[in-house]
Amino acid sequence: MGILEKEDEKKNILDILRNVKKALKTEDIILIKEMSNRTIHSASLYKDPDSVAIAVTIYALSKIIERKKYEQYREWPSFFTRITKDIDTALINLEKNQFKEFRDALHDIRKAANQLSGHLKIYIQEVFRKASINKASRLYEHGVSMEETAALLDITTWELAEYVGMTGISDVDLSITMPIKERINFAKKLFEI
Amino acid sequence: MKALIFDSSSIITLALNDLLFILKPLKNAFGGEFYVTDSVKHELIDRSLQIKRFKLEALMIKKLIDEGTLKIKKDSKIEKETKTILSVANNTFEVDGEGMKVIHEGEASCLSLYNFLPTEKKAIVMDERTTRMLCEAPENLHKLIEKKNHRKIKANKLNYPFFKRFKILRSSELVYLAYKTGIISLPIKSSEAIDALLYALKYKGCAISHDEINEAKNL
Repeated sequence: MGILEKEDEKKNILDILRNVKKALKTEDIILIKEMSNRTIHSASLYKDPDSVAIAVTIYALSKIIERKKYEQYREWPSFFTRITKDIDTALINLEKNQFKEFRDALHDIRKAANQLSGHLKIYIQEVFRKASINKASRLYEHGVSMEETAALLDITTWELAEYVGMTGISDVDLSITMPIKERINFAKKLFEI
Repeated sequence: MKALIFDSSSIITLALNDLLFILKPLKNAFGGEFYVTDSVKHELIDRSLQIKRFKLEALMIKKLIDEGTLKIKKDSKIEKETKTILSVANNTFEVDGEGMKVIHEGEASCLSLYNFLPTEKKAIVMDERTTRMLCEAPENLHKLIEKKNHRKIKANKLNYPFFKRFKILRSSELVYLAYKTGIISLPIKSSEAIDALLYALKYKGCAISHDEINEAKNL
């Protein structure tokens, strides 16, 4: 069963989308970031493509509205109108259990980015790529392995390794599963040093 | 025969720190084989060669394979066992009655190969923490998943012993030995060299903590 068919999850996504819609209108960066954080639990637990797409898209939107410099580009108003409309369409279709149309609307946000030109296109595409890496690191933080996470987000283990190295994930006490002295001694024994 | 099995995460950490050169002399010192599975080779080389940013690193790893420092292990028994391991691992924790996918084929293939190597003197070299936690402290992984997701997760504790047999090292232990045996030399006193090396690994993805590095400096 996909997450869209789970009533609680669907309610959660609807609530997130309503808040994202509101945040886009008012350019409320704090609210949209809060919504982005709420998406990661579903993605971590269910790992289905819908929850991952929602998590990446909303995080990317939070970064896009945060960067005021994009507004100076000629294509910005039409791009912003299109993605706002896409969120609306996604919301309406999810309310009606029209899952395909819901997915198409979310997908159209990425499509809109790919149809831009010049610097804005490069910037927005980069925001989406970084959003994928960021969400991947959050999934890894939630106990999903590196390769599983990289595959799910369609990024490389290389990109993920570089990113998680800069976080505090490995400093969590629960991650320390054996004293390092013991592990080094085991290595020495294997190497007969 | 002794053997080390490398997961992609440990090779990536070494490659990103320009430390792949330690593998050949380390293998000589070890006196055994260094293996990668076909699935790990795919992740490290085949896929990475398509990405300009990591193409050079992929080629450097390919060179290690071509010259025989790293040997690829591929056979149908390993693939079959990989599927079994994936099934057990990804049904160890459950949410809403369904198994939680926690590990992927590459990691499972390392555990699979470990099972087929006819020696007691073996280990998996793996820098990512989830598979290591599943093997060495599944109860910690369970707590972590519950804590991060803010909800109860069912653990099938009968699966825990299945993973207990696997012995795990990280790139950090190999680099430590490489330094202590003179394969790596740095113009600074030992504790500072260990500090520099292990932090470099940490910042490129090796799951080692600040506390562990501090302890290693003083060993």
